[in-house]
Amino acid sequence: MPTRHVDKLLEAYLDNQLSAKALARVEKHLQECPVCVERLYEAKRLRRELGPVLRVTLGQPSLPPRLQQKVKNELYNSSSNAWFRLNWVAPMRFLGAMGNMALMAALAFGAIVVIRGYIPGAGLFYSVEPESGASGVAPVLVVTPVLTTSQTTKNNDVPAAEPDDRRNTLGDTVTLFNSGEVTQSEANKVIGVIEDEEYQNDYYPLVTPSQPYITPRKVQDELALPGGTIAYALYDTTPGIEAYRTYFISPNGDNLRPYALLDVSEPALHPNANNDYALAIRTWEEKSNPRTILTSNFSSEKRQSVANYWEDAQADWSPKENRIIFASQRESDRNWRLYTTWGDGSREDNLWRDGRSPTFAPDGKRFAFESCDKFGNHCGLWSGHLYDTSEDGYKVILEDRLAKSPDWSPTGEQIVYMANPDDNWDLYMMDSDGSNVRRLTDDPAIDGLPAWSPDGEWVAFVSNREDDWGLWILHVDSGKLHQTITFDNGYLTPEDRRPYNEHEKRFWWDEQISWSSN
Amino acid sequence: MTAYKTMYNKDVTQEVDENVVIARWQKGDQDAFDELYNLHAQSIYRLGWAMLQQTQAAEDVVQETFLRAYKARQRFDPSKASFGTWLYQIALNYCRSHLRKKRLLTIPWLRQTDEAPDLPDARPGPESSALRSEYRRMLWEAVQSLSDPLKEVVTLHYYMELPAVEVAVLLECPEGTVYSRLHNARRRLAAMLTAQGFSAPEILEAQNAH
Repeated sequence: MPTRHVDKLLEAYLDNQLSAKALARVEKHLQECPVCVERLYEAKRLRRELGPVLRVTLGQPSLPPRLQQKVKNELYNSSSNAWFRLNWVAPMRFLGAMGNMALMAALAFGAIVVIRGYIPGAGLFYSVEPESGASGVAPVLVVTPVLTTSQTTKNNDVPAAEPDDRRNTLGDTVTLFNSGEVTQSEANKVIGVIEDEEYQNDYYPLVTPSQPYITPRKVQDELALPGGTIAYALYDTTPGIEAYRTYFISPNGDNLRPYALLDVSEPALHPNANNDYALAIRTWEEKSNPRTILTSNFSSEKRQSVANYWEDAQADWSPKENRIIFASQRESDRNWRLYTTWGDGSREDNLWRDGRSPTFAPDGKRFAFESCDKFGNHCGLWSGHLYDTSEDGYKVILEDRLAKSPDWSPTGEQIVYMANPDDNWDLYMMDSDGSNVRRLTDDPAIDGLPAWSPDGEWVAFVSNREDDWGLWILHVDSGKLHQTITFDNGYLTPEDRRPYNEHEKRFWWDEQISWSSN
Repeated sequence: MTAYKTMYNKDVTQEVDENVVIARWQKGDQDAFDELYNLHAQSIYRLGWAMLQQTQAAEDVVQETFLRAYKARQRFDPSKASFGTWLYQIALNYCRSHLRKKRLLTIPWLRQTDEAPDLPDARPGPESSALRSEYRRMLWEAVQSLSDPLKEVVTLHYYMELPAVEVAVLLECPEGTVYSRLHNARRRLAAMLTAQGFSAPEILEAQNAH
């Protein structure tokens, strides 16, 4: 007569916690039931292995010593007003819930609820006058018989895709041709080039040089300083202002002038800034301007918003076209994503890629940015192409989680960036395919936010060397170094307060600087 | 008094001492707090770490546990549970509510936190091999995919090495419930491991060993 299975009792059996009667039953059953014997081995094995596996995998971390004092402070210094926390939290939550319910009820009955923030299409709420006849610089057409597009002006006019078509987000169909196969009429439609050997870059493993290949040394007058204009933004703590201000300065330190608008930062100058749209800039306050990215001339008289969201940031100009690329945290998950738009705000396009700090290559089609792959691996600097926004079109060029603020040189051969491999932010430079990483600075102070000069010979950067934050320029071939200005009228980052930390804390490396030829 | 072991393997004389300390602590003595903290904080921290797997969250568990315990210090009843178990109960409740809140935001266990431990074993044992570490990883993932009550019991019994009796007191359920949860957890884990192809050879090896 077979007895009942004792599977459920095995843990207690192994713990020796069974009553005498149950113990006898288990032992008798195990004599005659191979299934339960196998279960017993299974239980023994887990008993033997589970503890060690959990302890090895989880580790057995020890308590941080400072915690004791913290708990004690919390306990004995705040217990006098504990009634406040005990008695007020619940009613306040209740009120919050009532507010939500009231809002939902209002919506249900068709009331109009005005929520502060962006309202699509509500341009009339803003006070910027439309530009009269200024439609921006026309796109420069590059005629080369490699790639043609059937160009369309609106996304809904795009013809149906052929099976082998590659479509970009700008609504153009991309067709690859071998050289020599293109007729004149097709060549007339070409607006961009993808040169394969440049585009198919390999991934080079990270080699971080510890010594700069040049010796940066400070010089005063023995060299001809470059021309142009550098733009940077500082947080002005003067009472009554307490906002970001953007400044323009010549690289030799002359001609410092503030930009007219208050509370704007992250300036991006067009490499050939002219009086139409010299500048793309992020605005922070909504009093006089839409809070998003504006394009403007130096004097700020002609300006317009080119994006739509508070979170749009980190613009960079295409050197070839009147186009900007920018990053935004506008989606509700607050991941940084890449977007592009024309300099007059028309035809914004989502590049469907996570990333931040984008920088255009001189061809105005390729760009580099900080990102990871979609699994969160291979974080570092990536490159992409406007006409190939499939996942395969993005390539990692430098795998370094702490490589930030890339800037692609005007010659196209190099990318300068800042990195922090030895707990010290310094400037680095690599070829645009990620090879040949060179260190530019090794000062123990912070060096960061690099920006190329328009001739590609100098790099401007911010640094706190010599004890004060300031703007410096470095000649990348000779190592000649010159301080343009000391930041004595503000700070790179504001105090930790709204609205500058809407979604996360703002750091100095979230700013950017920029250099134009005029 | 003859020193004999309780079922928690603790010396009774020590328990008596602890009761004196607890009485002082209930009157607000900060030195008593230090003594209790030194006795219990480490294991509460481990519990928080095992449940939440983030150092910051584990620190919060320690802090909240002692804050809540102090607020409720007059309600501690030594006849129901030892002081350590009582603290465990508070910590466990905090972990549960923390997980509940987190669950509103994200699907648990799918998200890898920054501080999630590295899975491959750094200290290879005598049976070290690729199969072995693969097996460990599978076992770890299987544990992570258990339902909350089962995972709690597995964590308390196998990681914290609490005997089932104490787990029962802590969870305020009969001892039989603890054993049946351990049984259910074992069946789930075995099923998942079998599905990954990790059963027959290991069991044969175990049979030979015994």
